[in-house]
Amino acid sequence: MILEIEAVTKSFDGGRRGLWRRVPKVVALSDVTLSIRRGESFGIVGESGSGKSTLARCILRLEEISSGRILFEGTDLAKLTPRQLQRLRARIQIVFQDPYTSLNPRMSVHDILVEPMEIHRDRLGLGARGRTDRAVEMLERVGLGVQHLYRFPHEFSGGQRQRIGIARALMLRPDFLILDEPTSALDVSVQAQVLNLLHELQAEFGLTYLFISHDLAVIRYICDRLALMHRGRIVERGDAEAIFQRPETEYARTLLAAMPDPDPDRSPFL
Amino acid sequence: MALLEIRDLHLTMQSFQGTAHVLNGIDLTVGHGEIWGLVGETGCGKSLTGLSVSRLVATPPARYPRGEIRFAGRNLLDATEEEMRSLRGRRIGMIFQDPATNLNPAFRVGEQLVDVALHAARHEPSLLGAPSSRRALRAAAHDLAVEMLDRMGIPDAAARVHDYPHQFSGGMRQRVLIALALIGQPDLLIADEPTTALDVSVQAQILRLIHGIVRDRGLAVLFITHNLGVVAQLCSHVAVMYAGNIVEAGRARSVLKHPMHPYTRALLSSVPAAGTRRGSLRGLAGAVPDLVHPPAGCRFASRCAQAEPGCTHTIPPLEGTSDHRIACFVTMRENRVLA
Repeated sequence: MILEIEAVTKSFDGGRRGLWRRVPKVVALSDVTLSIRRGESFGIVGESGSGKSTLARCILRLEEISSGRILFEGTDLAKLTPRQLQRLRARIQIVFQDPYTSLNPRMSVHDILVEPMEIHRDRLGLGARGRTDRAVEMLERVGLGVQHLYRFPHEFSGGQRQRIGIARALMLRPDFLILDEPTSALDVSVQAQVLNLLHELQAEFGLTYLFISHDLAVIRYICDRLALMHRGRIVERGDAEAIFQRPETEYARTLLAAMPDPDPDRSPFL
Repeated sequence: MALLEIRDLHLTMQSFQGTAHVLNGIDLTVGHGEIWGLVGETGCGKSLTGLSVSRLVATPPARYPRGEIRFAGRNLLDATEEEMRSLRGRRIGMIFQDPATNLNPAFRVGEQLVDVALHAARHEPSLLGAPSSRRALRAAAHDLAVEMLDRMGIPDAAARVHDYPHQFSGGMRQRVLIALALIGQPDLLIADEPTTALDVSVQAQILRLIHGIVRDRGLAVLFITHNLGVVAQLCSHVAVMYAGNIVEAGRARSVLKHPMHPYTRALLSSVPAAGTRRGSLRGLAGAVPDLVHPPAGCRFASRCAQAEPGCTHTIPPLEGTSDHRIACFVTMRENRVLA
């Protein structure tokens, strides 16, 4: 097990209404338990507001959990010193949903890719030259080239930007990659290319994926196992193909039935 | 005569780089009771086709050098703005993608519905009966607003008309927008990605709603989307667009089951289906051509696996039967050999 999430609950305090009244607190995650094996692709599916992204943010410790434990290779993330946490962050990286807002428009591709290596330069032991070389290498690996190194994000298409986002996440050679809706802003033909790239990179770098999506077809294509979330709870989890073929809960069945089938013979309106 | 006939529609856009040829001879006929899915990827011109029908494209920077858009026989490209206003909200209803930005946050949804109903009733008095006074007219419009929300499946509609847009969820707001589009009892509905921002379960409800209205009222629908699954479920017909051209069009069943144009085939094989082996998804290499300096001939040729030298000389026409037409020289020739 590379990541174990044990009975995690996360609640947000409600906002103020007037001087004294408070809105009741929002429970974004309640009693979430799951474990992810090394080298697998684990999918988290759910509709908007189900808590998928909150879970990702809790794993990265961008949010503090209210109760429960998150263990990465057996160490409790909450017990780490700031120094240890920073070291660990090199091993857990994330690719965000929106390639238009997740790259700093004022930084060149070179600066975007080199920045993580500068933050972690003590352990990497790479000089400026070595960092640039590594950036070029990774850029080529994700399907771009050295000619793109000193360009800026606005010069790229959505698919190319997402490749840059993936390259940035891989610069520190992480073990664990969180993919938060990495293709939902892309056209289908571009999505197919990015999904294939992710599949190749997984084998090549021995990555473990936590793949968050609301697109059931994408999850089915890329994931070995999955957990289905609804209102902050996990309602069903297990082998992906088994869930798609024999959903056990009522919610899973309604969600699967609502998924638009690209076969016109299976339209509910016929 | 079909309700909507688009003939050889060209649209150019003035930009800093020069004149972009955005639509390049669109031919489309939509009849009563037909749901036409207009599909294609970002920038292919599907939204501009929809907006052109309701004449919501600003001219300039846009220009319509050729073609016509006939709605019930009248060429809308010659219509005055006043004439267009009498059609919008009354005979042509529109729904847009983002339910959050298309409702005015400062007005109760009931008032917004009443406004459209009164506007429509100016051009079609029978809509609100024959009320004797202004007050009675308003009351009739209010009743119609409640009835529309109720028909859209909004619970407790009589009370919800007094709510503001922010008090509705995304799916409920989209229902309000559909109610707005349909309150004038239009003949044509233009729906531009109406379910893209919604969850699948809400999307399924909205599709059922639209399908029910088409079945009951014989509405004609232009449904713009990039989701092929939605087209397969809802649409009777489909037109696939690429870089400002329709490359394949016809009955949805025929086009989706037996795609012939290389672009349609690539698009369909990009969507993961049950049993697609990991890593075997095809996708489409290359990029969309520059619309300021479009290539001569077929615009898809540079990315097409079966392109021949002849493809880059002349633009292939959309040929075939009314059930299934494609714009591809190579496919047409091979089919003739087979036939």
